Amino acid sequence: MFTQIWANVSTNFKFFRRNRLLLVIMIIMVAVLLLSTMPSFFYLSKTRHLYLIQRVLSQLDGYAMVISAAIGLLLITHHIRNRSLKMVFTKPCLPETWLLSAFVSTIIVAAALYLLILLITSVLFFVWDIPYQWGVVYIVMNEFLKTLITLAYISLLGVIMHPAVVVLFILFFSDNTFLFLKMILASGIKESKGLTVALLKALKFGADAIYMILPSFNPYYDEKAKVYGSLRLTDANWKYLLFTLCYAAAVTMLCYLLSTYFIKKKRLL
Amino acid sequence: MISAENISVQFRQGFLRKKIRALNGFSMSVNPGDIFGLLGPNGAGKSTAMYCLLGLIKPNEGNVSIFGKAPYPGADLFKHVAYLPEEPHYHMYLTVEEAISYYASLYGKPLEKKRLHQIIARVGLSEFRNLKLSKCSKGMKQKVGIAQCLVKLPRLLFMDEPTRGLDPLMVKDFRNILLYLNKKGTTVVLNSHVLSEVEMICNRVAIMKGGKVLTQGSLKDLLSTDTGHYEVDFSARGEIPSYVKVVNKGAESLKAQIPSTMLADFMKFIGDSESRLYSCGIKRSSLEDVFYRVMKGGA
Repeated sequence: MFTQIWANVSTNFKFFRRNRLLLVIMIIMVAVLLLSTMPSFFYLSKTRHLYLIQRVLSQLDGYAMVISAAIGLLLITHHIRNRSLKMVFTKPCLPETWLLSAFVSTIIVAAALYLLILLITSVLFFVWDIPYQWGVVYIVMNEFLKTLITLAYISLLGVIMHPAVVVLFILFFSDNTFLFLKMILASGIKESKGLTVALLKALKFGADAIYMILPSFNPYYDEKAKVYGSLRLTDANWKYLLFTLCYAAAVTMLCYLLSTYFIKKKRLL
Repeated sequence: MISAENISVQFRQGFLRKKIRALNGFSMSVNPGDIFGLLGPNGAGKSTAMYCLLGLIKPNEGNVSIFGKAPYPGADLFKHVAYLPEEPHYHMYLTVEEAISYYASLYGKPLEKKRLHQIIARVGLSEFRNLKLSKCSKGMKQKVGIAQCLVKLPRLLFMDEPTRGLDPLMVKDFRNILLYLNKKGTTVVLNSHVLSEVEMICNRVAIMKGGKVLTQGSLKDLLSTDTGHYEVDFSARGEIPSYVKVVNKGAESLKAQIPSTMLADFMKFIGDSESRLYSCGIKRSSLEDVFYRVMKGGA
């Protein structure tokens, strides 16, 4: 099994390396980052520089998440849609093994991206002679875990749906959308009377149910928000990072199992 | 080695999810050492049958077994199986060498470089080994497919339209490869439209139509079916007897069929009428004859 996982992972890396769409996404993101931050590099005050590091960190985190999600989605959907998986499954390589390799490949790339972000921000601290703020490590770890959740969820959707539908689905069917909907419905229930209340209550019940099912892409956000503001490790609560780790592991495991189930149900011809 | 019993497969297609029966009571058996040809017109269900045998489609009814076990995607039994698909649905972003090496690794053991290069040379792709599959021609992709079947000596080899897109030289070479593998103990199951090719290499065939096997058996038995008549070529003088069925009227001679039972009478007619007989022989059925006969309803 190890040989098969290694063969799949190294093949997946070749896929990432040779995929022009991914290359274009990455070039655009680097260009946008450079264009938006370049002028600020000429600021001289340390406070400005610290603010800039915060901005770069936040932007890079966002890009890393988009790139990781894109490679996860592309990897799964490309192989399903071009039907090359029948070449894999007519060898002694189980769908479980192939999917595990796909998850491992994307997680390795995501980890590499976040390590790069850590390196870039650390270099900026060094270059501008600012005392290193260890909160950056906490933030990068948290962002990596958030990316894991997104990656696992998007990979599951990629097994079931067309990639374009996946993107729309993830944009509209996020936990934030339903949280917002729940709040609107709750205030609507307070203001309404009679039959409308019953209708709104039923709608809220549905929204509650969907909100419970959908994975949260940013668990324990409020408990970790302070570190994002100050970059200080003293503001960090490791307990919530551990909870996020457990949550990410559980979501990844569940999404992996569901993906395995659905890929077996699919006609890969 | 392979047995499929009473398999039915239904698909749902289109917006209205219309039911389509791809296989309808399909049964066949393949013995060890066979080169088994699955024949049939387009839409007969040959590829679907192969997908069922490979475990890529779960039949709605019936049983399939390979080496006594039910196949499913990635099953352990595929350690001894190789498969050449009809369409080149390979990992197009890989080069020829990478693709063959990758498919070999999926058997659980990476292929040595030397052996890999030997296989690539065997199918005549040495100078293209660093070319991406997406840039390869159809024939080259087919050669990659054949090469990945050769990475180990399989006990069972499935081939869906194996000579599609191959040049005549490679077709001949492919036949030799197939016969070599068979000699080494590989059982082969292939789908093909090229009847002459099947006749040349297969020892057993099944003819399919409408999702079921109409007839199956050894090629020898199917071809030796007595046609019940002689084919004669003669120049006639006088009135031709009624039992002579003229097939082709030439300027000099007539080509005709006569019932086997009337041979003596026909010879007498030739002698009496001083006609000239150029040839007389029993026509052996070709696979094409058998195929058309079965398609028209006679088994």
